[in-house]
Amino acid sequence: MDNAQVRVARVRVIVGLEVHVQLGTRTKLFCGCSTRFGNPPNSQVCPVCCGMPGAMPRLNSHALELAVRTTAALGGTIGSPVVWDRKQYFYPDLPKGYQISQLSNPVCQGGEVPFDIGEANQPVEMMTARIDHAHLEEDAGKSLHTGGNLPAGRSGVDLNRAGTPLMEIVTRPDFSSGRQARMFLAELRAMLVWAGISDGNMQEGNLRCDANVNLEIVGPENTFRTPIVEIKNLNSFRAVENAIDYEVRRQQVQSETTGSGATGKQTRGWNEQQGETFVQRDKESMADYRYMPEPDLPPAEIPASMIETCRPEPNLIPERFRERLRRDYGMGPYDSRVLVGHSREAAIYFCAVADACGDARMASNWIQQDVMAWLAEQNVGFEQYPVPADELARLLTMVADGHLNQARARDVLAEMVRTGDPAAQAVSRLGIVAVGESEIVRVCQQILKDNPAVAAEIQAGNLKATGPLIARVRKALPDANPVLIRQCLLKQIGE
Amino acid sequence: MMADFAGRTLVDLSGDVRSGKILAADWVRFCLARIAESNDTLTAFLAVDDQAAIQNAEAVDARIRRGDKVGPLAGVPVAIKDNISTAGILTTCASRMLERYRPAFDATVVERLKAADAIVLGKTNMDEFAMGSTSSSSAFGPVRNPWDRERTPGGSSGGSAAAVAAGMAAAAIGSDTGGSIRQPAAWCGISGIKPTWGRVSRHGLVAYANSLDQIGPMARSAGDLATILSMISGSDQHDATCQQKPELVPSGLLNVNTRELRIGWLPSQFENGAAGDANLPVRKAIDEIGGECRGMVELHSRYQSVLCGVYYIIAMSQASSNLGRFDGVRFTARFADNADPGDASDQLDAMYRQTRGTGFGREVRRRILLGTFALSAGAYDQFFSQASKVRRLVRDELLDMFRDVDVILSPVTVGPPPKLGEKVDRLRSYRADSFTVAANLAGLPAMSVPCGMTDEGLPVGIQMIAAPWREDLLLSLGQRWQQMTDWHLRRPS
Repeated sequence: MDNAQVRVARVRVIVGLEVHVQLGTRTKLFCGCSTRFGNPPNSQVCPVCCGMPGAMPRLNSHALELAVRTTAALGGTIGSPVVWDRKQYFYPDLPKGYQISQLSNPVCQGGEVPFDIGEANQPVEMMTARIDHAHLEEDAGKSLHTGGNLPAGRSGVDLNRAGTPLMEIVTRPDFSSGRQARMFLAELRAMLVWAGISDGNMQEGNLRCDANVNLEIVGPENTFRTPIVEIKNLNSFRAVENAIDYEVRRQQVQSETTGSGATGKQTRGWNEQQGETFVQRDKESMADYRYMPEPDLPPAEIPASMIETCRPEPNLIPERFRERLRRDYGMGPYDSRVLVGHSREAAIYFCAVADACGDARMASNWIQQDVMAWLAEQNVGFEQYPVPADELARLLTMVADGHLNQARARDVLAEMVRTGDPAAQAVSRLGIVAVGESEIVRVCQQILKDNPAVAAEIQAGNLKATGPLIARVRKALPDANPVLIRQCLLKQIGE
Repeated sequence: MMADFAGRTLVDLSGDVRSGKILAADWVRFCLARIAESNDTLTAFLAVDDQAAIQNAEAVDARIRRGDKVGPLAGVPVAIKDNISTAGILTTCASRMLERYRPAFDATVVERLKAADAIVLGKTNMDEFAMGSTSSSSAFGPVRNPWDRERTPGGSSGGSAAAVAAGMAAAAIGSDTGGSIRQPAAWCGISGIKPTWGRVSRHGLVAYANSLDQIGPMARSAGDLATILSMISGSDQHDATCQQKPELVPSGLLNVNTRELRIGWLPSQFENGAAGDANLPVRKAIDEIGGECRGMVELHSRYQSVLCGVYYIIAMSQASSNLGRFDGVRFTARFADNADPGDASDQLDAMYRQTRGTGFGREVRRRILLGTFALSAGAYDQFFSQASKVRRLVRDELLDMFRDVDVILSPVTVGPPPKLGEKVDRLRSYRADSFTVAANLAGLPAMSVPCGMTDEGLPVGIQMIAAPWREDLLLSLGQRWQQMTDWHLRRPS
């Protein structure tokens, strides 16, 4: 072994995530204000979410139900009764001077998320992230420093977001790379979207993530851990992966120069443009949140029946669905990843088409190529695809039965998409008539008679020569299936 | 010639209003005249809305003339403590911090009073943010006691108590966190009840200590209290802690057979001068009431000496949290000279410091600081957490007592109201709440009714405490007592 390699310390990367998920309720956690995104500042506020003196919180039961559903999806234990704590700090966008959150008895305790970390076309490689807990809390507002009607040099506060329900999902430190964290987050997001818990829209901040990163460095002389760094507010999958990987390198370099985990716990931000993390707060200025039980919300008992009704069916868990595609439809890891990765609607559509036409491979190819290409072009989802699954299945059956060739089938599908017509109607609208076998036999005989030399060549074993003959038959019979033409030609030459 | 509005109870007068014998507008004008006459000295009111009050009263009269249905409080002039939100009307909590704050909504209690056709006269003075027991920590001047203008009326609902005692209002709404309805009621010679925690919606009450705060009525008699309480209680979509116990009707609150009641009292409260000579009338009243009831039981508490400590830790902790929202960013006054040379974040800190340092008075700042400390990382376990545990023990002990007795009688205050400006030791003044805080810690209903006079001619009150939701026992017993005696009919000269 190379000496240089022996001297290099062994580094274990330790990463845990705190994921803030906005629950898909229509109204806020403690009042009736809308949670809609993108409306003019302070147009969705009331005395409760503005923190007006004397206004009191009322729990949104839909938010509680979604929290229970999250717990069921994560496989955690319900912390019942649901109780609340005030997390106190001063900030202009925090209207009450405290955030209503959960410290002592989070609604979800424990749980785990199995997820696949295999590369796109590599075999499935499962890993499990343990969930420490998940708790409900209200979001803060937003500070505005530019834009709108703000005079230069003045800041404003928009409280539209204040009070929207968040679920903070905290994992155990189970990841060892940015990539793993990213794959986990994608799986978690899909799970929550599939179960109808969150819209998961990262552009609108429905899903934000903090990453806790440190290293265990096993050196020749000693083993130590670098101090934990919390990277705040990562709001894209790419940011999560890049920020963690950057931080791992930074801590490694730093530990090599200082030889230990010298500096204390830090909070850092992520600069997307520079591709670097930067210090936001260090240990000395860490806040004391002075948590206190919230006296205005009575403890909410969660009936056992609610937990049962909230348990998601296996079909609503993406990894279970991938498993099903592999097991019941014979899909490979790649195809099942792409179909399920697109959306729940894609996976369900695929199953419907495959079930109806009986050819899963064919259904998968057509959906991945033709259907998804069209959806991407139109920038819409499966629920807006104009061709119902059973009609696509009918079209594919015609192809399989040899009534349509691939190229003509594409024309028919385009027509179905354009008009919304069933497959049969689109076929006749395009003037495609099914070509009978006797017709093919008649034209093949004629062509062979006209080209005796080519026929002899084929008979002598040069199968390549079949191509030009097939083309000539197709010229005469454009709707005929080329496979059938070829079979017919070879059969007649053999006779 | 004007009717004798000051000498009769609200129940009597509102009956006369409904039958057209007297005009609501005259009743309101009578109160407004009293206010005009004495408010300069008493400072009981911080804001009076004469015009609206007269207009609303005339509208009630017009409806009565037409024979329309009117509410059970038709024409009753009421005063509202200034920590209870009134839409469009200043709600200052007697603090500079909210000097110009006009709420966007009515508190539920105000809404319900209006729905019952009561007439809101204005807002009453108080200790700043209800933190005190003399009504002299108001940023707008101390309230004076109508019985002796050199003395405090008590607090924090001192303005409400003084207004009722001086005939400026037929009734008033107060709030009670550690005795703030009962103690000023006792010192002003009126009746006041702190209902069970959760009986009256707190929506719109600017919170001091949410788990102790309760809104309640202050009036001339137990009968008047019953009438108002029945109108303002009951569950509220805005307050999740407020409960719908069996609907309260005034007659139901007053028709308990008091001869069947078992009376409890704590002899230790009268030993070693704990209650002071001023409470001799209380001791006497206990015997008189006990003689009218089924029996008397002597009770002993293990926690009497720690009640105030527990109370102040919890109250101040919650206060430090509740008052965090007064930061100069939104609806409060902002005090900032922008002199800080630092960056935006330094300037923000400076604004917070100046606003909170200037907007809050000394006592409020002191309680915020103590509460902040009690919740801080190193102190939480020793202070807040410990106090919460003892609080549960106190409640358990009291609930246990109510297995043997129906009503507990006790003093309200340790002595007569002090003179304004008298130097009072702070700890001693905190300890002066020792008879009243137990009901708040345990969430129990408790009432104060007049029971005698001191040698100097100052009113003395007796406290009656019952098990949760048993306001009917208190009010029935209070009414029985007021049939036996006339202390509640005495007026300051």
